[in-house]
Formats: sequence, structure tokens, C-alpha cells
Amino acid sequence: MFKYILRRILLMIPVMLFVIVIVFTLMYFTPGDPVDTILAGSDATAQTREALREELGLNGTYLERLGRYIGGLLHGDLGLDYNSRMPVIDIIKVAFPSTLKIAGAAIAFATILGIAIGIWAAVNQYTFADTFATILALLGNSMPVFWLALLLMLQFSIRLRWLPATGLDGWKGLIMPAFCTSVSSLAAIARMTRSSMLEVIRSDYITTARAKGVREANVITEHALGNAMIPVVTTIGIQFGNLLGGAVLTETVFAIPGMGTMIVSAIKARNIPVVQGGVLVCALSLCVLNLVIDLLYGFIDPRIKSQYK
Amino acid sequence: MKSTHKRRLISLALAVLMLVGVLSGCGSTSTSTGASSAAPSEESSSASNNAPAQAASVPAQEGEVVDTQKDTITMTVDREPASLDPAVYVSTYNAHDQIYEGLVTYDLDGNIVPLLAESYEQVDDITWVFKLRKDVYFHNGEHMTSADVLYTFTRAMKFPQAANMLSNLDPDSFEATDEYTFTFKTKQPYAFTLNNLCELYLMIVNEKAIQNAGSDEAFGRNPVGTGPYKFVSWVAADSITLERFDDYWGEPAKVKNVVFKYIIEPTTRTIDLESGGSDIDWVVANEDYERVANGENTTVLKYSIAATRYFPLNVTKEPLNDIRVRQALQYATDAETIWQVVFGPEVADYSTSFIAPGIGGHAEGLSQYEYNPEKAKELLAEAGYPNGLDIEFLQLSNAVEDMIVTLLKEQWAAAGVNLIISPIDSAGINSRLNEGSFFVSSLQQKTQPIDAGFIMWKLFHSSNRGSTNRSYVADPELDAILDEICITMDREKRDELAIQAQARVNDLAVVINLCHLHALNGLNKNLRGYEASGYRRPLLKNCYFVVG
Repeated sequence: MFKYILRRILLMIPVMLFVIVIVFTLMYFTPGDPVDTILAGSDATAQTREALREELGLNGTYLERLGRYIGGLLHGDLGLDYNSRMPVIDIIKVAFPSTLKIAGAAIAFATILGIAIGIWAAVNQYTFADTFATILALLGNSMPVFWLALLLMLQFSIRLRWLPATGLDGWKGLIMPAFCTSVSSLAAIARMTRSSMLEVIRSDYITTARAKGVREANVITEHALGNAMIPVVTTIGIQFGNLLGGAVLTETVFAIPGMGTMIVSAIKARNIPVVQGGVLVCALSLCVLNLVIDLLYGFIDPRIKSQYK
Repeated sequence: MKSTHKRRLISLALAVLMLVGVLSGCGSTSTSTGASSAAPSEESSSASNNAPAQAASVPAQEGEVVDTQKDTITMTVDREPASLDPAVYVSTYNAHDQIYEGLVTYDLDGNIVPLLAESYEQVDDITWVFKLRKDVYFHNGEHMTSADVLYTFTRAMKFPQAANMLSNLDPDSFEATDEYTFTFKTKQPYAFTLNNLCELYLMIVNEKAIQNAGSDEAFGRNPVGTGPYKFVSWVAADSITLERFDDYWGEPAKVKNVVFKYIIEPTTRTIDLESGGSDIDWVVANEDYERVANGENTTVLKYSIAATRYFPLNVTKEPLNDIRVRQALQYATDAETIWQVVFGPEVADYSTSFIAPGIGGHAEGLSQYEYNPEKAKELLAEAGYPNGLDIEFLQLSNAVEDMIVTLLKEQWAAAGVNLIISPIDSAGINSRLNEGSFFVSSLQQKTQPIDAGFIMWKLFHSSNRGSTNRSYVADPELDAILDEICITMDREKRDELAIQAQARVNDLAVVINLCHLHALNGLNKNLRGYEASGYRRPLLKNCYFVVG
């Protein structure tokens, strides 16, 4: 198992390198000069702009700039924000926990409710429960997040004044953003649980368990659920990974300074170090998450554990 | 069969639901003044009968009880400053205004009055002497003297942006004559010297505070000024918190804390205001104006800020280098209709003058170009384009610009001009504008100070091509008028020269005027003492709450 984990960690290096090169290349060739954005509205002369370009290290060839960036990375330096000259790592230290809070709360809510609804739909196929789950999945995938967010704000912040409209202060501030973010994940998890459970509960061993007189609840939870969880865990992992990349719309509507808004704002401003640092952190989080999910498989299904050498 | 029948019923119900949703989405739009689809009415043809007050304030009313419980004013802004160092260029400075002060400042009517200076005197054409207040302390407890003023001025000149703005000051002349007297000279007589002193770059800072911070960047995250509020904390991309400075030299702030929250999305700022999460929305979106103005707990303060919307025509690009083509585009544009449909009288003033109504130098009747597509066609034919021509339009991608460009495309098509739209984001557009690699665009220009002469100099002097002179005009006759403005001390004479400059710009047909936007500040109805004008941003020290 240790060798497997070590191998996976080492494999992350080429993945990270690939991400760095792709993002750098995209930002390099995107039209728009960061200096012009920083100095927009300031009547800066051409000399001032050139001086700032030099200060920010924007002169130099593609390879020179890429080399400088990778060199800095090897020393743990993600660069400085072009606007504030703050270290990018400090900006990420503020943004990432906010995203983690929302993503964590959203995925926890979506997992608990999604699995429950999925099981309920599977054991009551072709009944109201099944239809409800289907409609829920449809709504979850189709409903625009920003629309739902504004609706919730209208009701709970303006009319009822129960919850704050913006920010992540306290547990009350987390409810609406987490709920909005969880809806599509909830739909995906519920659907995957339902179809996975349907496949498992038709198995011979389940029929045998029922024939032996095992209570239905135990049949579902002890015999069926474990075998049905592999694809569900995969879905949860994928959804969590997406959320860790930053739920941009949710963060924008609720004015939460998370990874999504950080990266999008940085792209608009051509704030290259922030974009690179943000994407790098997201990619690393995804790699670690995938590793954790893969290891979880081993605990859910011991047959898989033996393959981790 | 029973379950099949049930499934069919459910499918039908869902289909009906979908249809209802589609049909309701196709219903009439709201009649918000920001983006109404109504046709322009004839009554609105008068241009300048809706100039809002230069200054706006929320006055106290009789019998109101001050709310002593509410100890925080929360203001939402649409962008975060890059730094709280006044010498660093930033595009938003609400927090700076509460932390720092300069030698002089504007009052609400645009007059320059002493602030940290007790008095000042212009000894000759180029020499200025300032007598400082003796009772001013910085937030770190240091006493302000002329050494701090000298340090501030000298330091500012090391920042390229500040040095560019203050290029008329002579750094070799800066002198702390005695402990409370500061003297400097300008390189030549300059009409806007005192205006320069009101700029953020020359807000007085303390040398010890900057040395203790260790670097300019660190100081920018931990500012120290002389203002009524001192810095407490800054959560990046979230908020800046200030606290009342109890040793302030003037009347202390009425409310203890101020928080600036950074919220990009305009609708979220409106909802935050309505839900009580904030007390001031610095920028109310046009489409939210009516809702906030008529809200149960909210109101809108509206005032002119001389933010001019216009279409620059780049004279360095063929065919716009031909004055007949530019004049044709003037005749082809019905700017009043665009104003009426996209903005409306509540959020902007229509005017053919480049200077906003209510400001000295505003001049109606200068425009020679009434909407006339046929005349436009004649001019194009004269210029060698009898079959019309294609022109690229550099468009910033957002909903407002989409509407403007859609209307303009239709209008110009009637004159035989095919508008080719090039949408671009804000980062890309700045580069293209600075390089001059565009033909026509739609821009907004807000200039400080609000002085007609200064505005005309900034936007049309040949030395500003590549920065604020977006039409890239270089006309010796126009430059001569603008140079004269810069050395004319008398405000009224400058305004007359500004009118002459506008007439010349009109003759050259280098810009198409659209309208002048108002500032729209959303407020908690229980907030009092809030004062702002185009000349001076609000000082929150005077604000307080009453019991609702």
C-alpha cells in the first residue's frame, strides 16, 4: 500500500508540470496586457507602462518567463499578485478555506441526502419515490444556480431576514451557498445510487439473503449497499473535485472570496501569477482527492485493496 | 397498464409546466428606467432639464432619535483597492478617503478649502506657501509637521504614476521652511496646482510609519494617516475594517466602525442593502435604481459626477482620418434615442455638450449634427464611399454595451455603414485603446478634478494620445486652446476656453457624445449625514443612524 501511495504521489509531478505549462501558455497568448488593466483610467504614459512591465517581469521570451516561474515554484514561491504585490500563496490561504467550507458542507449534504434518496428510489422502483428521485435529478441538473441563489436570498434574506445575503460569517452564512452548490451534486449522487442499487439488489446473493429471512433493512444496508457504493464513491469524488475548483456562480452571487471568484477575477485582469497559483492548487487538490477516493475503494471492497502494491 | 397511464399523466404535467415556464419567460420586461424597451417619447427631446444636484445629502429630520446601538456603517463597493498606500494608483478609494487627508480638499460645491493646512498663499505665479495645523496627529501617535509633508511630496514623486500626474510640481523646490510651513514651486504657472494637492497621491503620510512597516507594500496593507478613521484589518477580496480615531484633530466620527465590503455582483449589492447587510451601496446598477429608490428600507442618492459616455472616432485610422466620414457618422447617429432606451433620464443626462449639465463650461447648441441618415449618405458618397463602408466597433462585452451597439448598428445601417462588432473583455480593450488599434468604441470617461477645461485638456490634447485622448486627435488650434486653459487661473475664463475647445472638437467631429451618467448611491433609509457630490466623495465621519 505504501509503495502504491508513493507511486501515485510521484505521478502527480508530471501532471502538475503539464497543468503549469498549459495554463502559462494559455495566459501568455491571451490578448490583453496586465499592465494596461492595472493602470486603466490612470492616464499612464508609455514610459510608465513599460517600467511597470519590467518590474512585473513581463518582458522576456516565453521560455524565459516559464523558466523563471518554474524556478520560483521549486523554491515554494508562487509569485506576487500583479495588483497588490501580495504573495499569491497568501491570497490562496484566504480563498481556499472559503471554498473548502462551501464544498465540504455541500458535498456532505448532497452525500447524505443523495444516498438516502437513491436507496429509497431503488427499493421502491416505479413508485412515487422513484418518480420523485427522477424529478429531483432533472431539477438539480437543470436549475440555474444563480437563479436559485437569488430566489433564496429574496426569501430568506430580504423577506424573512433569517439568513445573511452575503459572506460566510458563522453557520448561518454557510446555509444558502452550500445548499445552492449541493443541488446538482445531490442529483448526480441520487441517480448514481439508484442505478447502482438497482443493479445490486437483483443479484442472486440478495435473493438468497431474503430467502434466508434476513430483514429487508439489513438486506439493503449490510448486503447491498456495500457493493453498490463503488460507483457512488466515484461520483462523490468527482463532484467534490468540481466543487473544490470553486463554485464561481455561487461565490459571485453570495460575494464569497473563494477560489472560483479569485481565478475568474484574475483571468479578467490578466493577473497571471494568481491564475497559475489558483489552478495549480485546484489541480493538486484534485490529485490528492483522487488518491483518497482510490484508497477508499480498498476499504469498501477488500478485493480491491489487494491490488494496491 | 395502470402504471403506464400514470407515467403518461406525469409526463403531460411536466410538459405543461415547461410550457408555462417558457411562456412566462417571453413575457414583457420590467419597465425599469435602466434598460427599458419602450420607444422614446417626444417629451424627452429636451436635453438638459434633468441635471441633478451637484451635491446630495440625506438631511436630518425633526423629532428623530439617534440610534446609539448601531455602531458600524457598512458600505459595499464594486472593486477592491490594490493597496491602501495613497501613493499607489488605485481605481477605488472610498477607504482611503476616511484614513488620509491632504493639505487642502474639495467642499461639496467643488471649492478648494484648507484641511491639514490652516491657510495657504500663492506668493507668485509659481510659488505656494502652506501654513499647517499644529494639532494634527497620525494614527500611530506621531505629531504632524512640515517634515511629514516634505516626505509625502518627495516620496510621491518616486512613484511613476504619481510623478506623471504631478509633473508640473518642481521636486527641487519642496521645502519644510519651518516646523509648520511648507513651500513648493511649480515648473510654470499651472491652473490646477491646488487640484493636484487634492489628489490621493499627496495625502499626508508619516515617514516613521512607512519605515516601521518595512516596505511600501507592507505599508499599503497597514496604512497610517491622519483621518477620522484608522485602519483595523483587511481580509483580502472580502472587506476592509476601520475604527474611529479618538485623537482626530477635528470633530470625531459619530459612528465607531466602518466596514467596506467588496461585492462584484450589482444584484447582490442591492440585495445586501435591502436585507440590512449593508448601509450604503456605492454603485447601484441602473436596472436596480427604481427598486432601491422605492424600497421599504432603502433610498437612492443621485448626483452628477460628469461621467461622460461617448464614442471616440480614431482619426489615425482610415477612413476615419477623413473628416467627411466622421461627420457622416455623426449624422448617422441618433444618440438621443440610444440614451432614452439604454439609460433614461433617471440615470443619465442627455446632452450634445461634452461637459455635463450643471458644470461651468457646459454648452448646449454647439453640435451641428442632427440625426440625418440621408445627409450621412451624401457625405460618404463625397468621401468616395457611395455604396457605404464597413467599420469595426470595439465593444466591451457586457449587457449595456450590447444594447448600445445593437441600436447603433441599426442606425448606421440606415446610412449605409456596416458596423462589424468586435467584442472584447476589459483587459483586452485597454490594450487595444492604448495601442490605438481600433476604429470606434464606446467609452465612459470620468475625470478628476471636475473642471471643464481640465476635462477637455485631458481628453483632447495631443500629448495625451495613447492614454486619455482616445480619438488620437492632434490639432494645433485645439492644442493652443487647451494649453491656454492650463495657465488660466480664473475659473470662469477657463470655462469660456473650454466652450471654445468644445466648439473646435465639434468642428473636427472626433467624438460622438452620448450622455452623462449620474452617481447612484443606495442608502439605508435610517442613515443620516451622508453627503456626496461629483467633487467630493462621502466622508463617513458625519454619518449616523436614527431609530427607524
